[in-house]
Amino acid sequence: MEANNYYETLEINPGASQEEIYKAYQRSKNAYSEESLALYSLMSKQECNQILESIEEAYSILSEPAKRREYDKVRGFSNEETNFEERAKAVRKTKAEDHDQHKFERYSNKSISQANKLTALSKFSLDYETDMEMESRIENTEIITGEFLREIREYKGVSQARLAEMSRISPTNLNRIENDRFDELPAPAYVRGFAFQIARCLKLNADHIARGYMLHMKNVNQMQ
Amino acid sequence: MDQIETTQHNSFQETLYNNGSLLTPKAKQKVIAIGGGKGGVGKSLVSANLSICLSLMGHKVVSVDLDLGGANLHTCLGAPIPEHTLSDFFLHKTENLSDLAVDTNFKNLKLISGAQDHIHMANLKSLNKNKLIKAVQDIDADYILLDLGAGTTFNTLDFFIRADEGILVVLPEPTSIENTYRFIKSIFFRRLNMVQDFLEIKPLINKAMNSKMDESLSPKALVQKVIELNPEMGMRLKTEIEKIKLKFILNQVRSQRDIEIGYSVQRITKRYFGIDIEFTGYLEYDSSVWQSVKSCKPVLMEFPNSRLVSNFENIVNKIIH
Repeated sequence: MEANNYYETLEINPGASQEEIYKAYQRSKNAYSEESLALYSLMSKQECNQILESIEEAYSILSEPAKRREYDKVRGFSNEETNFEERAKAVRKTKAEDHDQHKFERYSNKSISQANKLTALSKFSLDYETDMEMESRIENTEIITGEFLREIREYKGVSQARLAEMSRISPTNLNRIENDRFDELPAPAYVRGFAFQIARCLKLNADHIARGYMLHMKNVNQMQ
Repeated sequence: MDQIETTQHNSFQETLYNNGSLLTPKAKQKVIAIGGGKGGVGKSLVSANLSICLSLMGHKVVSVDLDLGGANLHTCLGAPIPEHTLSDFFLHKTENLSDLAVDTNFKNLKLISGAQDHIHMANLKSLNKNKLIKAVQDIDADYILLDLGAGTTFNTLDFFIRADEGILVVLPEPTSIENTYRFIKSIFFRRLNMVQDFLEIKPLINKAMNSKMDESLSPKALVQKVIELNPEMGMRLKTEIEKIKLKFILNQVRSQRDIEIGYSVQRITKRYFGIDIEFTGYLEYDSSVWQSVKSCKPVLMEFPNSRLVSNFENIVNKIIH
């Protein structure tokens, strides 16, 4: 039985976070894998392989924000409920502002309506007074601790709850990151993704922040 | 044309009302059926402990043992072999099931035993069955738990379908999982058979029902096929199937891997049958359970601090919302 779209294949709703997508992918793969007990007596190997293929295909698209955006656009999944599009636009915008003004122009001219842009702007706008000392500290700190991330967040005037909403990272995971509770966090690749996303929402150099946090995590783990 | 359609629709609804969920309309109480394709998966243990849990929470509970061949709910509840059983109901000694409910060691929990009733229960005629279902409905309680027998006889299926909630007990083992799917399949077709409107597509349904599980026409594919042949009929079929709401509990879980099997069963059921099944919870394997059964004492009371108790709490909270 074919699913109608990639979200159905993974059995998630179109507003799912990257974390949820990953979890659903793991569960789906698990269900139809060769050694899955739950399949017993129901489906042939060939059917399972087909399903597994469609799961891989769905995940390959949905796991990559850029491809997912494109897919959502084509299939009309840009629903307001989840704000996924808005979020994506704002992230694009942040990225653009930080790195490449031209890119921003190109993106924004593409399809975003003025109204959408405004809501996205207000949702993701930051209200804080620039403190040059802090700015240079952020720029020059190589190893970014959870505590420092919290300090930056507070400096940018964003509450944890609001950051959770902006970044779509659960408050629990934000807490874990800010308190360096590495053993409770998912695999490093995801933690890196979280740090990256947090940095984008706070309009920081995302590469720098993510690298710094991963360094910190590595150091702590080595010490233990 | 319009008019004809309306009439058809009405008769469809009537059929539904007569054959569908009989227990829901006037019931304030909730009837929960506990079943499972395979014997020995712990149905009676689950029923007994869910009943105890609910009664300890202050709800009025009546547990009914509908297990044909091997009624042993009284043992799981630590009660002696009861004097009154469902026999009395079938021999017309009483019309009221509440008369047969005997006290247990728990304040709010009563038990109706079927222990001596093999002959009557196994050969339950549909008239008696409907009478029994009505009588169950009349029991004065907040929760009525039906402990069903193994297998997929019409008796078992009908009690399961007509209860407000049907909970399957599954073990993370191939045999149990296979029987669980067989049970779901039986529910699927029993439910379709109850709707007389589907007479025209009976041949197709029968073909799907008699095919082996791994042959290409899955129940979900069947619905799809009917939609192609006859859109109106197909959509009705689909609505009917979507009304099937199932839950299951995974018993004797030994690892996280075992728990994942629960999520897999949930996914596969959705894909293969097109039926939503809720993974209500799991019960961790606990050798003390078996000790407790041997000593005829309910687990919940014997080991109040075991993880099993918190497993039961989670499940009960999900059931009562």
